[in-house]
Amino acid sequence: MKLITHNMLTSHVKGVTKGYPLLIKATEVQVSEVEFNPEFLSRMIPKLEWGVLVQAADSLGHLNDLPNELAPEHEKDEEFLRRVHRVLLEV
Amino acid sequence: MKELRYFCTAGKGMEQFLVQEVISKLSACDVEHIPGKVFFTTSAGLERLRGLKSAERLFLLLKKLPPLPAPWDSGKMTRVIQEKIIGELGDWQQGLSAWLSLQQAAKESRLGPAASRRSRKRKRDEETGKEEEEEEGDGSSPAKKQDLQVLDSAADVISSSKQPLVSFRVCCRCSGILARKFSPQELGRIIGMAIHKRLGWKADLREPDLEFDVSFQVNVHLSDAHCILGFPVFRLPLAHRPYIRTTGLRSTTAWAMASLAAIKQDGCFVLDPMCGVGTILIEAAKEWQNAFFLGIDINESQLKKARENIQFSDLTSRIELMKASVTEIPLPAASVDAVICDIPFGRKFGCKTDVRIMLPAIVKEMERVLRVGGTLVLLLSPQLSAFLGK
Repeated sequence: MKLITHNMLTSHVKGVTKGYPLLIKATEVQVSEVEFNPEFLSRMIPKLEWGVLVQAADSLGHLNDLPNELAPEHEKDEEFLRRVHRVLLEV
Repeated sequence: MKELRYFCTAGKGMEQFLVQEVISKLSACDVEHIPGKVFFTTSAGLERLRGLKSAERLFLLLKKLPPLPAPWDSGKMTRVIQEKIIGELGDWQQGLSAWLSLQQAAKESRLGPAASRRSRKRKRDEETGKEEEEEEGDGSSPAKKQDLQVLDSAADVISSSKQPLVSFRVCCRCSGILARKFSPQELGRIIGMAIHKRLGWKADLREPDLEFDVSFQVNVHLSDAHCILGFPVFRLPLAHRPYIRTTGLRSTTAWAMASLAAIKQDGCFVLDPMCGVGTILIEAAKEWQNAFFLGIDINESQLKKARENIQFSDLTSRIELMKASVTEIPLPAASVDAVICDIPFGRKFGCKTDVRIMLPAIVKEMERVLRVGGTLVLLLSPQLSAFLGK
């Protein structure tokens, strides 16, 4: 599962009041190349739970130098977008 | 590519989608539609024609006539066919040569530059060929001479001294009054005979044979409203998707549903909570490149096929699958931009519990995960649709 999907998952188990975010227990971590699409990313980033993404990436050892807080003009920073791309879609 | 008039066949209710599609993708003009068919004129090349997603098959239009009179005996019918369907020889020859140039273009795109060199030579031959033809006048009947002229452009194996061998097949469909008087096979045979008589081409019911220089098929559709003749442009229907291995929902319908979801914005997150083998997801992901797709299904074997399909279509980077129930979608509220779903309404696939009972809960759950301003596209049976309307 990609981290983009994990970022949206919640738990529906009864009795759990805050079913989000889910912890990750990875049995295997794979990195596979995916075509880079800056338009897609800059639209997607505002929709993400950024803190959850950073946490999840960190727990898998693929933080990739992502900052804890989003920089205001991040969509213009291609280097940054490429790093998000790696974490979000390739891990 | 020269401007040509085509028509596509389309499933019931798909005509409007197809009209929109030919206008936007092919910049087509003179677009008109009748039930099951859309007519249009375009100069778009074969690759763009092949990219039509809501059509079933593509034909080069030969003739579109008012409905034929339907006499009782086949002798009169033969005369009607000779007069109306065969009509002017020039129409057939022009039609066939346009079709041949399309076939030639298709061959070139398959074979690459080597073939196009040969075709340039052929075009020269064609030009000179016409002149020779007019000069020679070796006493053969005028019809035969014209045949040669048309076919020179197509088959380079023919030297001008040899008569080209043309074979054809008639594929006839009819409905309404005519269908009650004649079977399609009977009409097909009469049309075939008439073509043979007037144009000298050989009717061949078998597969195209190598001994013929040119083999073509002509499709004839006779109904109470129209009489339409066309040459199929591609061997396989447009609705056939080379990138899908196992199909569930009809590909054209899946595409139309995705087009309704308006995934135009970049970075859309699209969900199919009952994805089955993933046809909707694949059709949508192929067409709208800047979106991310999630498929959910409760059935492990369907998911397995969906996974194979997505791998086969090379879309693993943008489609993810998960096992979950549609009544408890594991996503937070207001998190997806579009939900597209083919509800198993029981004509082909049923489910253990009655969909009627589950439907309100399903729709409520879909509404929960949808963002404000998001789109919900459902495929339902008329009964279920009416039920949901209440």
